[in-house]
Amino acid sequence: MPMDSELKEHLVEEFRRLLELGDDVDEQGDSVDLRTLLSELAALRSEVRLEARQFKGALDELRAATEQLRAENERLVREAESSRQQAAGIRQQTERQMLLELLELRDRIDAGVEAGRSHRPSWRSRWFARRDARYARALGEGLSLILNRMDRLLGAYRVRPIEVLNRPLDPQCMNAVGVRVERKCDDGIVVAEQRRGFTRDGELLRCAEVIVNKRKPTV
Amino acid sequence: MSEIIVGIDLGTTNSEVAMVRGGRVDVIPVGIDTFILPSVVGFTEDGTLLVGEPAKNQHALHPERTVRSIKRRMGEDVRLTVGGHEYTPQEISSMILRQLKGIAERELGESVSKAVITVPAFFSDAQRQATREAGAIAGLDVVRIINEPTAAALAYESGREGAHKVLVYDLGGGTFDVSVVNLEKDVVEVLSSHGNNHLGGDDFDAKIVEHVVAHLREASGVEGELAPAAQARIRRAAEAAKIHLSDAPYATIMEEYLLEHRGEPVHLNLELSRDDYEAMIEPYIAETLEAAHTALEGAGLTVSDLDEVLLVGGATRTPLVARRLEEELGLQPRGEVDPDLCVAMGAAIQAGIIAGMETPTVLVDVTPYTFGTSALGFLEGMEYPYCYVPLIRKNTPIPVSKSEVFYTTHDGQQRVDVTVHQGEDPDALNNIEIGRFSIEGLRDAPRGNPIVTTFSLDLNGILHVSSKEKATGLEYSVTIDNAIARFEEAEMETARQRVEALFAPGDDSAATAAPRQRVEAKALVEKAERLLEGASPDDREDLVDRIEALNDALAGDDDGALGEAMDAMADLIYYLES
Repeated sequence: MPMDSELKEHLVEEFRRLLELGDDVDEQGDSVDLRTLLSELAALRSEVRLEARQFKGALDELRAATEQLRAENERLVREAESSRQQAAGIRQQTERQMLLELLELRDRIDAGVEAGRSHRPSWRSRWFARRDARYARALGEGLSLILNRMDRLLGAYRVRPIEVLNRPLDPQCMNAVGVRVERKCDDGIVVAEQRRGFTRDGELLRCAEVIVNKRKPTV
Repeated sequence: MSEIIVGIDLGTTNSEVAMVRGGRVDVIPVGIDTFILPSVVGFTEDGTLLVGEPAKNQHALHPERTVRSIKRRMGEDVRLTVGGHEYTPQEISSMILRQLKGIAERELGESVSKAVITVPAFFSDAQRQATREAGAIAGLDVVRIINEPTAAALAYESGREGAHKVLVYDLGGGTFDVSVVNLEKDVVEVLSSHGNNHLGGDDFDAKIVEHVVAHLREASGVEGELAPAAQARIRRAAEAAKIHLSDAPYATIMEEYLLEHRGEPVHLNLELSRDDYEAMIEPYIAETLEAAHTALEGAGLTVSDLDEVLLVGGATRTPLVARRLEEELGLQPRGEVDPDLCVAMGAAIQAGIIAGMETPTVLVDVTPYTFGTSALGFLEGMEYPYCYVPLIRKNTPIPVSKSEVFYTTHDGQQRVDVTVHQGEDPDALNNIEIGRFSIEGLRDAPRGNPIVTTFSLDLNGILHVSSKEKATGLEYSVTIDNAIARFEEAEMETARQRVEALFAPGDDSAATAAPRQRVEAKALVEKAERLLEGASPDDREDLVDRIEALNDALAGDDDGALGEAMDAMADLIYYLES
C-alpha cells in the first residue's frame, strides 16, 4: 500500500528529532562505540537463539514426556487388566483343581455309603449280633452325614451334579463307558451311572461315566 | 504385520494347534485346562457332527457312528461308512482340522486360512497328498507338510549351530516312532525311521492294572471278572500311579470301597515302587531301544555319530526311558520341551518362519545346573562314599520335584548326613556343596532302612531338600534360596577378578580419566564437523566458534577449561540434533 505524503513527512520529522537527540546524548553522556554495540548485539542475538533453541527443546521434551506418560499410563492400565485376568484365571484354575480333588474324595465316601446301604445281613446274624448291627448302622449313618456335608460344601462352590439316569446320552457331558440291554427302555437312554458328573456355573467340571441302553446290535 | 499361519500336529490319537505370537510359540487351548483334542470324529443320531472329547464319549454306544485313528487310513482309496454316509479318510481328517481351525480363529478373533501340518517321517507321497487334501477340504491352504521328527527338532532348536545328527525318540500313548535326522542350517533330512504302531504309555498302564488285579485276587480272594466300575477305577488309579512314579520312588494306589466280595467291602491299598514298575515295562523299553538301533543302522550311522537325542510323546516322561537311552547311546536325552506338545510347537515355528517372522523360540524355564546329593556307591569300579547322585538334571523344566530312595548302610544306623551339591562330576566332592543337614533318631533297623530324599526347585530358584525315613515319617529339610542365581553371582565375581587381574597393580583410575576425556572431546569435534554441512548459517557460525574453543582447550592442559568447552559443545549438538 503506498504511503501518503503526510505520513512520510511525519516519519522524516520524527527521525530527524531522534538524530538530534542522539547527538545530545553523545555529547552529554558516556559514549558507546559501534564495535562494542555490534558485538553486544551479536551476543544478544546468539543468546536469544540459544534461548529459543532451549525453549523449543524444553517444549519438545515436555511433549515427549507427556506422550511417554500417556503411553506408560496406557501400558499400566493394560498390565493391570492383564494381571487381573491372570489372577482370576489362576484362582479359577486352582479352585477347579481343588474341586476335582474333592470330587475324588466324594466318590469314595459315596462308595462307602453305597456299600453300607447294600449290605444285607441274614436275619440270624441280625438277631445274634444286634449290638454289632446297630454299631454298623451308626457308622453308615455317619458316613452319609459326611457325604451330605461334602455335597453342601460343593454346592457352596456352585458345583452341581449332572442328572443322567433315564435321560438320553449327551456326549457333551456324559461318557458312555458301556452298554446294556434293557427291553423296557429306549435305545440310547442312560440306565446306570458309574461315576457322577458335575458342572460348575453351567460349565462342565467332570464328565459323567454312564452305561447306556442298547437293544439294536451295532452294524 | 505377518500373515497368520498355524502349526498343526494331526496325530493318530490326539491333535494340537499352535502358533507364533509376539516371537513366542503358543499352543492354543482346545478346552478348559487342555491343549489336546482327541482325533475322534462322530455323528449323533440326528446327524450333528462331534469332534474330540464328545465323539470319544459316544464311541462305546455308537461305534458305527464314530471314527478313531483315521490317520492310519490316510492315503488309502477307501470310503468309510459313518452314521449312514460315506466319507473318505481325507474328509474325516478335514473335520478334525476344521475343528482346530475354528479353535484358533476363536482364540485370535481373526480368520485362519493357512497351516503347516506334520506327518510321520514314514508317510508315503500318497499319504502326504491325502493330508494336503484334508487341509484343503477344511479350508486351509497347507503351505507345507513337515515330518514330525523335523518339527520336534525345530521345537528343541536343535542344529542351529551347524551340522547335527539327531535321534528323535517319540513314544506316545499308543504309538512309537524313532527317527534319525540330519540337520544342517535350515535343511532337515530324515535319514531313517522305525517304530511300532501299537506300543506306548497305554501298555505301561495295562501292566500296572495287571499287577493291581493280581494283588486284589491274592489279597482279597476276588475271583471272576471285576465290575466295570471297579475296572475303570483301577485304570484311572494305574495311570495316576504311573505319572507319580515319574518323579517319586513310590506310589500308593488307594481305592476305598472298590468292590464287594462275599458281602464285604474290598479296599485296595497297594504300594508300587518305581523299581517294580520299571521291571514291568523293561521289555517294552528294550523293544524301543532295539528299534533305535535299527533306525541308526538304516541311516548308516553308529551311536558315536549322534549329536543329540530328543524326547517326544508323553510316555517319555517315565524316567526309565531317558536313563536307558543314556546308557545305550551315551548322550543325555533332551526332554525340556513339553513332549506332548513339541510337535505342534515345531509346526508353529515352521509356520512362523514361512510367514517371515524372526526365528521364533519355545520359551521354557529350565534349571541351568544339576542338583544332587552324595551316597555310597561305586566310582571307577571302587566303593566310594561320596558318589554323586543327581536328582534334578540340568535343563529340567522348573518348577520340578524329584525324589529318590536311599538306604542306610549299617545295622542300627541312627543318623544320616544329607549333602546338597550343584554340579555334574560323578565325584560329589568335585561339585559345589550348597547345603547339608542330618536326620537323627532313625529307628533301630537293620541296614537297608529306606530314606526318601526329595529335591524341589521352584521358579524363583528356591531349592527345598527334604529327607524322610519311609517307615516312620521322620523328616528333616533344608531350604536354599537363590540356588540358581547364587552361582551366577559367584561366576560373575570370578570373571570380575579375572579381568581385574589383567590390569597392572597400582593402576590409577584418575590417570586414565584424563585421556578418556580428551578422546571424548575429539569425538565431539568430529561430530560437530559432521553437523556443519546441514546446519543453518547461524548455527554453522556457532558450531565453528565452539569447535575452535574446544580445539584450543585440547591444545592446552587445563582440564577444567576442556570440560567447560565440552559441555558447551555437547549442549549445542544436543539442540541441533533434537
